[in-house]
Amino acid sequence: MSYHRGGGHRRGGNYNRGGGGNRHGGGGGGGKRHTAGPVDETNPVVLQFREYARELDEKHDRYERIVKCSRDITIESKRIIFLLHTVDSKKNNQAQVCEEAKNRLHTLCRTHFATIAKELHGLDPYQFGRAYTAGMQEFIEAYTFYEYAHSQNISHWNGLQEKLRYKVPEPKKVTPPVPAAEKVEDEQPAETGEDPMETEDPPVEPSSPQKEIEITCLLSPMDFVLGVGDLSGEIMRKCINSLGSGDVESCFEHCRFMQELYKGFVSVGNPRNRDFNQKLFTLRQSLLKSENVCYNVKVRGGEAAKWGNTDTDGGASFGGMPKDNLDEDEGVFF
Amino acid sequence: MQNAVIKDIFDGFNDYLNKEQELREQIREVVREIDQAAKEATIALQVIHSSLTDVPAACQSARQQFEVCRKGYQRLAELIPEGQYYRYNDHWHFLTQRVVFLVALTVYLEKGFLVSRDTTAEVLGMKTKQSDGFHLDIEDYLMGVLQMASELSRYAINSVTLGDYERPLAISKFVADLNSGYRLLNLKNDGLRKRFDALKYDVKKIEEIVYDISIRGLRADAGAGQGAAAAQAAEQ
Repeated sequence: MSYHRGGGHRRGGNYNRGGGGNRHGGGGGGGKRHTAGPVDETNPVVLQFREYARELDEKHDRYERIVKCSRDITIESKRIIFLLHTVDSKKNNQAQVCEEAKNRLHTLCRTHFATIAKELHGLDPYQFGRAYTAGMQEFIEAYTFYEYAHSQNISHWNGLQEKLRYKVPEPKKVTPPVPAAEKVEDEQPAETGEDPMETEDPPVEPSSPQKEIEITCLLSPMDFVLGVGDLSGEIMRKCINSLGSGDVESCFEHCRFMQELYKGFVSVGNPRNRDFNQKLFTLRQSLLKSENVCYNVKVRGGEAAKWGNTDTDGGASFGGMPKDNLDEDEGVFF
Repeated sequence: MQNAVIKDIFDGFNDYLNKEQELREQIREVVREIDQAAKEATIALQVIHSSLTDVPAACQSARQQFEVCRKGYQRLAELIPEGQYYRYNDHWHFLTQRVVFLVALTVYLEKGFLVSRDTTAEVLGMKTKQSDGFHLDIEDYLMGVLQMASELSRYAINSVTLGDYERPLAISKFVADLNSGYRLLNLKNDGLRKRFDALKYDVKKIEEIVYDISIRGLRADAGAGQGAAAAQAAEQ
């Protein structure tokens, strides 16, 4: 079998393109030998495969639509993160920026995530998990970063999953769904007794008599944790930014928060996910940088750390103008 | 001070991972049993390459193994939580493809036609539609059928060796049908496409066998010289 695989892979491209032409009536290079002329529509095999083709196409189309949504979510999430970086203690704009970020996050929930939830309705969400995991992680990064900017803490994924649950009147009718939970301000920090398995319930099937169904965009805990891993990069940047703007005290708070995050990540055993260890490594790098910042502040005082720095590791990155780093997404510039 | 929320998040996450791990271990156990049965069936069906008369008996014993597979799949169906088929299906992905291959080969040897996805699912005690529960994934089915084509090209060679000159003609017709069937699919650039690309080598091999038979006048209805025989081969 490996022989076939290898051979087919190398020379397959042309063959398939030829086949593609054939499918639409033209004579393709490799295809001529067997299917000269149109397909025999009465052939039972052909009849069977028509059905399979329809099913495969439907699946691929759905996948592509979800990927498209996921891309849009990624873009908007990155913008929200950028916006949240403009919070500056001197300008005293925290409340205003957070308000805007919150609104934009809610719009995302109401639009793109609702679309994905609709696509997934009645299907196995894990089948298309790969299509939206990137967007989901970026969104989680933006969302937790908003929470962090707002209240210096993040909340449990159960709360976020609740926001991705929608009630829609009836399938096939196009009505903007309303998020089941609207509140953000007083986010309860984690329902402690809750079984985490509950968050991965399959989409609820249409059951209620008022012709109202509940659809869910599944938030997998793995995505959440990976998103939180990305968050660490943002906090590191925030830590360095606040040094640049002279808000020295908050550096220590950011650093402490990241230490907590790191502790959490280290406590995870056997994650069965390739990305996870990569995230852990990056998180460690970010943590070292912000610890270095704190160290410098402590020894030399806020002013000194801002300008003079000859340290090898993190020194270069926070010695320069921190604002320059804003357009970089991940905190991976070392 | 320990941050309570973060601790809670990661405790929950660890819990979630552990539960998943446990379930995966259970799945692995069942999959191993099905795998064993599939192996037995494979061994039984290897007889077709060395004997023409033992084929029905081989199909019979393969069918007994499918019964074992069926029970295994039913146990799997009970293990997998609703709507999480694709979360765990990497455990039985390849196995199912092989089982589909065996079922398709058996049905072809017995009846001479391509087993449909519905029938395969029925033999294995699975559903066809995702919404009905534990189902036979369409890509697994298509992969399994492609594996059968490779096996048939080998079967064609060996049946000539064993003196059956008619069989390669039937196989050639059958595989050509399969080929035109697969041409109807819009395949993405994934494993299925790559495996489909290999189908043409199987088709080619079988056609060469048909050609060899035709050109030597070994076909029962060999009526003409080389030109006509080649044309007939092309028709297949």
